[in-house]
Amino acid sequence: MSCFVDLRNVSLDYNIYSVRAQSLRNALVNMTVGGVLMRNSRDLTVVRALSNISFRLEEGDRLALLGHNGSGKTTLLKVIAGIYEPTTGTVDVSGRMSSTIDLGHGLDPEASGRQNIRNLGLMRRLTMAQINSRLAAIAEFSGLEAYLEFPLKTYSAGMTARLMFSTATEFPSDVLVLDEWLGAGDAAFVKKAIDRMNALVAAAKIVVLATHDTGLARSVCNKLCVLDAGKIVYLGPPAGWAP
Amino acid sequence: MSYPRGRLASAVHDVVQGVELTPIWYQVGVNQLVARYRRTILGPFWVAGSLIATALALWFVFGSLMGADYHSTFAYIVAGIMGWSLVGASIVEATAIFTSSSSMMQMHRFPLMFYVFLQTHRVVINFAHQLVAFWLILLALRMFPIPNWTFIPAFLLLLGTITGMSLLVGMISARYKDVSYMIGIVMQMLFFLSPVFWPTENLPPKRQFLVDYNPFAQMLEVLRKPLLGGMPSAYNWTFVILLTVGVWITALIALMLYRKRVVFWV
Repeated sequence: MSCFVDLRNVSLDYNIYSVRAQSLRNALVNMTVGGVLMRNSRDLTVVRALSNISFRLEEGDRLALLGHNGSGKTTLLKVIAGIYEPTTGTVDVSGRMSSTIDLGHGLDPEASGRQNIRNLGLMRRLTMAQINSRLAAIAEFSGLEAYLEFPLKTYSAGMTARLMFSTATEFPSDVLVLDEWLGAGDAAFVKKAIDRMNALVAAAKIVVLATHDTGLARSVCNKLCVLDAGKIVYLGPPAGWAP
Repeated sequence: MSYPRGRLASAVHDVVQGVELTPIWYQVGVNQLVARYRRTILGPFWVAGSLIATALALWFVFGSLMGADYHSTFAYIVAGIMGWSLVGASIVEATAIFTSSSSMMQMHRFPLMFYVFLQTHRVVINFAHQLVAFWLILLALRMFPIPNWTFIPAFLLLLGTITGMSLLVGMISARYKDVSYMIGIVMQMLFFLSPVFWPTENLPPKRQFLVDYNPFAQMLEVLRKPLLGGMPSAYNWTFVILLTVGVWITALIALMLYRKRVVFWV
């Protein structure tokens, strides 16, 4: 089965509620005065986080998302991963998706590293047998063998990044979506991670990676997508873009 | 992975996907249970212990106030509190369905019903432990009531009702932070206004509406009567079935209108 990621005219609006807008009292008052209060104040702010994003990724594509803080990289990753549904436009993804976006999110700090790997596998809709067969490989790649029995709350950010990246890439997937936290790993691990991403690409998989590290983007990816204020300002091969 | 286009289709799709994910929320629920009671000896039986303790205290006071024979009132009160934990306390817990899962919602693409089923699963596990404790104690006291077969359909029906209610309560509480406090207070009042530990026959006729038109009283009756060996009345059944249908129609409408936004509310 061929895999692809296809976004057409994707826009996403966030509604940001102030403390006042979240209270029922104000919602009721607003109802009686016809919503004037909220419209005229900054209680309900609508932020257009993504605006008219369109692109298509085919097998073997590795897309790096670049842009300032708040330019919409993580939001776009979440739209591709299906966590956010676009306000308008369509998202079509074919293939098994594996996303690791927020470092530490969805992990249980009290449970051991091993149990957390099992939980992550479970969330990816794998069976216990599939998960257990990969545990040793994950332990080895992450270099965390000695620590896997410890509760996750004793892990550093770098160790958590190792655990999450190893888990995300060990289970078979066609579309891999990663956020920039990879930088939390040390140099040795980042090098291993880059090798693994290149290997994934050799297996004709799609990788979407958000990063601030232009060097990393150029060494791993064959496409760049530069975002600014939720709009695409550059989309194409890394060679064609000069900041 | 593409989304169904229509609003109703995507609302139904959410529910269907939630059902399809049963093996996952089942396992996640078990893992969370293990995590919650890690390093405790009794584990989920602590919940059952709280049931017995409350029942004993209430029985001590109200059992003697009501003057009736002690045996039947004790079973009645324990079954009442147990039933309340299924139909009443679970609604209070449901206020946190989405807010407490916000980190999971930012991480995985799951339908909203996934989190609702996870909550119902937790309620069922607690109820099962309470049920075991209930039967063991009544056996030990030699007043074991043989349950009526209608307990099974009643229990399944109520799971449907509270699942739909939980979705609604969870969504409103995620959007309006005041609502979760309000629901806590309302349910606390309803605990006393519903026949949890007082018998319905003792109610003066002009207060009978507290039972007749109170959905929580009706849900309680549907569950407790078969548990104590009786059968719910036709009125009980009709009320709860209509309630469930109404709740689910409202839940589907809520899903149609606000499903996409919940992830931004938490």
